[in-house]
Amino acid sequence: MAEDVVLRAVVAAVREVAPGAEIVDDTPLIAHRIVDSLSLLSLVSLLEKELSVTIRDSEILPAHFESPLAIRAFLRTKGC
Amino acid sequence: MTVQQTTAHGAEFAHWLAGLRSWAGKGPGESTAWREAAAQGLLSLAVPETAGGAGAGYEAACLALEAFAEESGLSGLPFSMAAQMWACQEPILEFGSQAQHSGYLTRLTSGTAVGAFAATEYDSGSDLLSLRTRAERDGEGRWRLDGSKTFVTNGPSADVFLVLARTAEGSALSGLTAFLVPRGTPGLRIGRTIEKSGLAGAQLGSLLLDDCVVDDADRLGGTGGGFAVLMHAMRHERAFILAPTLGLMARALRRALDHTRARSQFGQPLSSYDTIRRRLVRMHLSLTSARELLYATARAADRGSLDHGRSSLTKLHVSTEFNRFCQELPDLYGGYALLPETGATQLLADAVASRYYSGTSDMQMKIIAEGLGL
Repeated sequence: MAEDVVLRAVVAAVREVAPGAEIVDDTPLIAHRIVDSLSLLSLVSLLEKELSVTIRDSEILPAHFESPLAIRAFLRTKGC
Repeated sequence: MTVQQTTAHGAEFAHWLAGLRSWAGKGPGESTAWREAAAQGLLSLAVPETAGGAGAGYEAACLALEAFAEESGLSGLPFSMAAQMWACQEPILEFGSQAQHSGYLTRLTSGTAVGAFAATEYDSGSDLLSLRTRAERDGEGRWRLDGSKTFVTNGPSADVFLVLARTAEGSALSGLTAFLVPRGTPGLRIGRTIEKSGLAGAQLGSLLLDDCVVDDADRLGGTGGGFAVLMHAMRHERAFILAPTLGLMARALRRALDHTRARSQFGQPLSSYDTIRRRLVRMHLSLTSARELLYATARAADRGSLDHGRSSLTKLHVSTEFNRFCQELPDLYGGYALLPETGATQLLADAVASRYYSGTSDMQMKIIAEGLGL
């Protein structure tokens, strides 16, 4: 199976906003408080920049950012 | 006069803005100015035509707020209107249902209702996500809100409150929900007006929510979507809440120039002394750089590109330059700075306040640092 480059970019972005945390595809980002309110905003900005996508505030929902896999699924709905 | 189908760069907007300046320069009374400015279309400038607004954009709205403050000399009223525009109207626009648009947004932009954003609590200032106000569903599907809010701009007179409440335990990212609570809702009590030393004319108040019952139809956005509502409000408020201060600085600089030219000491006008000239140049520099950044941000927002880092950077820079400006201003007047007619100490109080509302300067730096990957 071909590597999911978007998922790899998501994991890299999460690692950048949460340095030191061990991040794998299904790491619970919100439940484990790896991503907080400030780093979530940075993550959104980073994803927008790296993936050339626009994420509206109304799309910043917990379900979309529960894990790198959840982010990947959300981004798929936006054509990534 | 109304403004429709225009942009900040069109002739029609320039004509409208000249009319606004003329009206504001006549010194409208504070009791009627809100409705009169709204009747001219000020509050609807940044609202898209599809939602019943003028669709003129953020740059046009900021130009109008700046002009209103500059010509009228009022500080609290344009600030209060800006607070409604960015922290109430914008979230309703983004998250509101069609019924909420027609029920609330239309009344807010027309000036027939006043809106207030109620997020801050006594124990949660910058740490908004630690707020304690709770909302629980009852057996009939309604929400019961309990808690209190403070430092609510427009609170004493608002007709509708955008209230953030906790609806689930755990991370605040998923545990907050926003509600639109009309004045008069059973269980909503409006507290006393908070006395303050700056922002004259702006009303700050507190709220008590005591088993306040809200219909599910008045939930703004999804259950657990309060963080997104909060961030949407803050993204716009931080970027543009200081637009009126550009007008206040321009007015103060103009008056300071007149004063230093007219007043002589040791046989020469104050404006001929290098120490005075340097202060005036520094004030001009502060105003110019603040204005350049705020309008660059507004134009970016009009292109659909306004991220949180940019909003925080704008808030931080404009408030910092506003404070620098106001540090210089009293020295141009000497002892006269203490007299109300110079406006120097009142403006200084406003500048101090600007470091704290919509998130403190330290909070803005924290957000900017996060964006830098620090």
